[in-house]
Amino acid sequence: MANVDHEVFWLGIRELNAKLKSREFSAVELTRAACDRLEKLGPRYNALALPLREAALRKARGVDEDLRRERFRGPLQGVPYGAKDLLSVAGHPTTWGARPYAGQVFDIDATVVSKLDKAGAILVGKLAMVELAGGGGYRFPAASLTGPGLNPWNRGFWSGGSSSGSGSAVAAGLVTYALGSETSGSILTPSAFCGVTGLRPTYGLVSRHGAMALAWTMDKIGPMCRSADDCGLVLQAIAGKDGNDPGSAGKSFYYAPQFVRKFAELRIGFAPADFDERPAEAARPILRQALAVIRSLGMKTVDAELPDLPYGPVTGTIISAEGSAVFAALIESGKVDQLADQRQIAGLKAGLEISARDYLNAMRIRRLVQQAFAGMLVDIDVLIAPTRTGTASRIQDPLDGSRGGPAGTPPGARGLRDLIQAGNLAGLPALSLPCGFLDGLPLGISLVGRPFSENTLLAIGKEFQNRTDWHRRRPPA
Amino acid sequence: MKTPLSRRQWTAAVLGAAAAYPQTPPAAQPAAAEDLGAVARQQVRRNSELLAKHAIPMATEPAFVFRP
Repeated sequence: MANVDHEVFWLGIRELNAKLKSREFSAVELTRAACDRLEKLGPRYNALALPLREAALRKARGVDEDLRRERFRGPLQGVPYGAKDLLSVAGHPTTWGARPYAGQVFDIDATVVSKLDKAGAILVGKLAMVELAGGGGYRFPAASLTGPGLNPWNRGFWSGGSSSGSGSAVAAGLVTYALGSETSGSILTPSAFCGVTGLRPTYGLVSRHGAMALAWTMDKIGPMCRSADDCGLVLQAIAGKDGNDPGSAGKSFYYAPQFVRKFAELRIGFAPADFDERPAEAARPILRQALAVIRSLGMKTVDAELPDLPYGPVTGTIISAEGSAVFAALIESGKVDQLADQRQIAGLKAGLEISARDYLNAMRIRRLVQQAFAGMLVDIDVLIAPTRTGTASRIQDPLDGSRGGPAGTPPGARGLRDLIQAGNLAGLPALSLPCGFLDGLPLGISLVGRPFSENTLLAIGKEFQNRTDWHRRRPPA
Repeated sequence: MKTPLSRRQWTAAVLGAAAAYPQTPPAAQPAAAEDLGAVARQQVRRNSELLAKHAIPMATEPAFVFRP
């Protein structure tokens, strides 16, 4: 223990693994210190769903033995991480953040947990989440079995959802990285609000086997880390074909940002309105500065605009219909009423009333969304927009702006508004990068690319982070 | 997928989870449940209307076998 300085909790994966290999400290010492820190500070942010100290120390002893025999398994070996509590870990509770499932235990590890285990990674805890990943549409940040996710930069503000604990835990240096999941914004939003780097992989690249289903055709699992480089390392470990996941794309991912096309050959699409009109006025110069850094990498920038399609109603209809079908037994048993958020309960119940015609039409318009992106991304390699137009909301404030969005169109140019919903409908990868602070709270920008273009996004993100230090900032102790 | 656990295993697991439960009380939820039910059903109807307004070419098939 004496060898483990708290500075190590802010190191990247490669640096931490190098220290383990050079025997600066053992995996057991690091794991013990990481568990101490997670168990002490996790509850401070309502970020911890379940500590896994005993299993983690058991794993760490095996890692030390491997390191002693020079059985190196890659950069994740011995590095502590946390997993969103919708991923099953055999023999331990998996609550999905929801009271009706508080005692639920599975006998399998989720595929991603199993893959990380093989890479020598050490799971130190399950991390908190919005109940049922917010499938019914929730009104308050408190929609969780573990209470509202509190933002490490200011605990009076929300950490974002639904991967709340993953965002908080990485931002506060409680884990080196975490796994989150996204159906429509649940990796990108907490990443932006907490000031961490979050990667939403292409639909099907990462197996969901052993993960709670919310919307079968939209769920993705991805890494939340402090840097783009760490996201690449984790994605390489968790991606790949899985016969247990019907949505698996059957593709692997090799993290090789050095082999992407030269930046000078890339075209990056953006909409001036996303930087000059929609964000809060004080946020605009921060977001414009981030865009200027991206431009300075040498890429050609071109104007881009999403076609006028009903992204909100399509997303809302698909998630509600699929989510209510997933949880039909919970709803019909009445146990749904044990959930913490009344709107979530009402939304799940109402989802059972969605007609087959509406679901089918939503899925048909979704096809048009895919086609629109396919057309747009012929001439544009990457789209860029603010991840969210502002910072995190106050913890007690309602999250109004219900799923499906307002009936009217907000004023101003369309630009890339709705990029989170549209990108999720099309199954596209996205990377959210911390890009500054407003009133002490983080802001983020997102890069969105073609299917399976994660290396391009990561290469740009890595270079952006070579030129900025937002991802290295630490919240107040 | 579910597994029977011994009483000791179950207790240890659930107590472990309980140790991490809320440090902050949930926010008050003032709206009546029946109001929220009506709002949620109205949202479903509004989405339905907005979807219906969009002309979809007949040949557009649903994105069922979903591949990006």
